[in-house]
Amino acid sequence: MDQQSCFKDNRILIIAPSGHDAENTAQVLRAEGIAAQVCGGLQQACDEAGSGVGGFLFTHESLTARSLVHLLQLLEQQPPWSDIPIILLASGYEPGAPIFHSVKDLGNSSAVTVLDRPLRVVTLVSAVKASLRARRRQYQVRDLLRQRESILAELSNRAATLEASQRELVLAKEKIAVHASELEQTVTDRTAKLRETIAQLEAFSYSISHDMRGPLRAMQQYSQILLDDYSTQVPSEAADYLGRIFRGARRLDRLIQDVLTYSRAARVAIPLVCVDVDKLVRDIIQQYPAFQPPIAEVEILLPLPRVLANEASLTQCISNLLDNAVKFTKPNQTPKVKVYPGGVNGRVQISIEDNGIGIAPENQERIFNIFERVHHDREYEGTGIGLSIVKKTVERMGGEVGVQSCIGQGSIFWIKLPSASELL
Amino acid sequence: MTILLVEDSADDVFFMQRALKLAGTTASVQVAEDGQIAIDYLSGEGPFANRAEFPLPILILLDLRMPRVPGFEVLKWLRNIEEFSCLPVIILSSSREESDMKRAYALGANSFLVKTGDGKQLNDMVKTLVDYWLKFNQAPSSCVETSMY
Repeated sequence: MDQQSCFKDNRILIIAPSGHDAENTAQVLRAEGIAAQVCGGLQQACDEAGSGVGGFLFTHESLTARSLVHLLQLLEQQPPWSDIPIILLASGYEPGAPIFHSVKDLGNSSAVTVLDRPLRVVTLVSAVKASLRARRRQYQVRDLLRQRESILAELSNRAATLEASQRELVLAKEKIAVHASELEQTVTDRTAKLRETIAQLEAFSYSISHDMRGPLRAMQQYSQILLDDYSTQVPSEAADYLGRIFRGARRLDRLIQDVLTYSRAARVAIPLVCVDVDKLVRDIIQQYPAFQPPIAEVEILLPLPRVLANEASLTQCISNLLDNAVKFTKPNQTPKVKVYPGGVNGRVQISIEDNGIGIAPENQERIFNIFERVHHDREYEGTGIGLSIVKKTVERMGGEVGVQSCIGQGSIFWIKLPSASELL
Repeated sequence: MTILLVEDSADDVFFMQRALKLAGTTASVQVAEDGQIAIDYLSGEGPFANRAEFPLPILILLDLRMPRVPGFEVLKWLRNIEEFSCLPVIILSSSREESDMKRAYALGANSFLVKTGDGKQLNDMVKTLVDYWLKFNQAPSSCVETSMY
């Protein structure tokens, strides 16, 4: 608060129409450090009070009927916190005196202190100080009220802002919901379209691969018939060429079959059940002469446990691994293959260990990729798909496949599958 | 004794006839080049009306992928006709698809064989087939149910 308004708030407005009373009183008060201002009449004092007042001090002579109306009006218009102290200097103040009624009216709407004249300076000063002190309290209440007002205004401002941002949030949420449902629809539509495209592609590759295999079978069989039925008429060089036609056609036929198997492994649902691996492996060995003496020795060292798998898929995997185990051997060496179980943490590991040529460390990862081959076809025949079929199939059954090997010291291929023991 | 070979590929017809001959069967082999011709043959339509020349088969070897009427349609048609409802049908296909096998058996095929490019393997397969279906397998002379009383 600036000095000017501080002065005005704390000043005593003095109204004493007769003689030098007013000026004298003002001097007495100023001498006590009290701000005092002399006004010409009660009406002027009322106007002056509008810009701040500590209290009124007037003599009863200045209280005319007209000026009383003015004063009462001013007092009534005060804000709730305000109750301007009034000190009335009266002479002969007692019931019955005309001044008595005026003061009574005044007393109903203000804090009036009546001091009977003549009075001592100390009485006047103490009354004025008491009034100013009460007035200062009122101003403190005013300031607190103002503070409260501004806090309330700030609060309502913030509430409004909060409400606005809540509305925005609701709108944003609605927008997100709309977007989400649109997105879901888009995903549904595209998925349906994608499924359709995949189905078309599958139908296409199914048709094309079966159509391709017909002529390949014809090439194989005609060249075979020529070699078998006309062996005496076919010169050895021509027989070699026929052999090449036969092998080329057979190779391409196998490639197509392997690609079909691989794509089937990648897309067809593989239901898992409890599979007796021991029986499965024994059946495979019994079924193929390539896994039996004198061509190869395949031995199951310990009974193989049951796993959670798909019988057809697991047969494919183990056949492919056994095929490799007996295929990649040194010339003139009988393949010796050991099959044995292992396992930890509810998983069963089936290892297939061979005495073959082994795999260099840098090739041990890539042999599982489709079409990756380490050897030339003239060394070891193959399509480069067998192990990728194993990997894809084992992974689709929730398992893993891997290899440990050293060049020249054989390989151990293993597959890990969930144990079926908890199903029993 | 007649075998009806339903096969659109002239090569496969040739290999099959050769393998049947090597298997030493005395059965005569009639060929229908697609499913429609097979249906015409079996129902004695048009040129096939003469049963002396085109006798009803005791065994059908049926390819799946053929022009006009595919093998599955022939199989469906056959099983809906009482006369052919229990006639042995062997599917000969290049397909190894599970879905094809399931569908074939569901429609009433008696066996499902996959075509091989290896002549020796084909000969073995046909020899086994002839032994099993023409020598050992027993089938009723007629599928039409006749009351015994």
